[in-house]
Amino acid sequence: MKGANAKAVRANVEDNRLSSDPDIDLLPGLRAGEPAALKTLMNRHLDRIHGLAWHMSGDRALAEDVSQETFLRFWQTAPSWDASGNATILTWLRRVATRICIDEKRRKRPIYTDEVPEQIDLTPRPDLELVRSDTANAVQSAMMRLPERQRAALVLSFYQQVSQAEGSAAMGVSEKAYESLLSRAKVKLKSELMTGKESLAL
Amino acid sequence: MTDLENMLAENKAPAPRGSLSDSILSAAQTMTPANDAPSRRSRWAVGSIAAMAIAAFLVIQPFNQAPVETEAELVAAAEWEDLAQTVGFSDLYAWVEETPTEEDS
Repeated sequence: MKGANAKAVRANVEDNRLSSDPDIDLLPGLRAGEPAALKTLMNRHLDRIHGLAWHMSGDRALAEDVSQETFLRFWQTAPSWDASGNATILTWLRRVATRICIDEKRRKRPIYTDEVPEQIDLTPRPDLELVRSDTANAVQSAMMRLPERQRAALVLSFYQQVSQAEGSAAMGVSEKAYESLLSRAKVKLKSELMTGKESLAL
Repeated sequence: MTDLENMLAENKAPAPRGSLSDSILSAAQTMTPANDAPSRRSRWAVGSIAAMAIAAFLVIQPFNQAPVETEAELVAAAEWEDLAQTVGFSDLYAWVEETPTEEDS
């Protein structure tokens, strides 16, 4: 009797999880390789994933590359997507985009040689932005000085508005570790912004 | 909202270019169709079997090779034969080297 109850509870939890993934309706089309299903998925989430990549990188071209790679990876993963797994499709997209941004940053990390490295300006390029305030540029520059994982926690929490459970799932860490990363990110960001407070009049 | 949240809110991400969606779609269509793409698990299985086959081939290969005398070994053998003849042990040397016949046994 106990076993039957536990089975019923598990089935109920799984049903709730599946019904809580609003993108599950696209899965048959994605599995069949239908471009229309991919287009609908992008209509729903491309802005979010691009925004996540942009806040992580501060670079519009890189954000577009990351968005493209993320959706193409899902396109190829869809046939083997485990709908009864723990992640929703959006959580998976966020996780992959975050991972690619962190890996991209590590690939670009300088190797110590005698050569003088090229100076990389972390401020957003004005030619690609419409009108951005000094504050917005200062915040993005300060975010770029955060360690990648702290920045990811901040971006997921503030800009993507995800819950602690979803944020930790997107980063592949425990909720406690996620909370700690977020807390350290806020402290460091405040400190970074305070160093430029004369110009920002905090 | 705190000051920090107000500042973060001001840092809005730009919208993606309109062509991004189209370029992702065209890239998807040139890739292996999603329903035909081999799963990562099966690729791992094929890769593992190939790696084991290569390892087995490399391990077995030395046992199949007939021993090949090097030039140094041939020179040493010729020198030993000359020395044996000089010293007068050529008969003994020949006796040691030749295979036993029925008469010997």
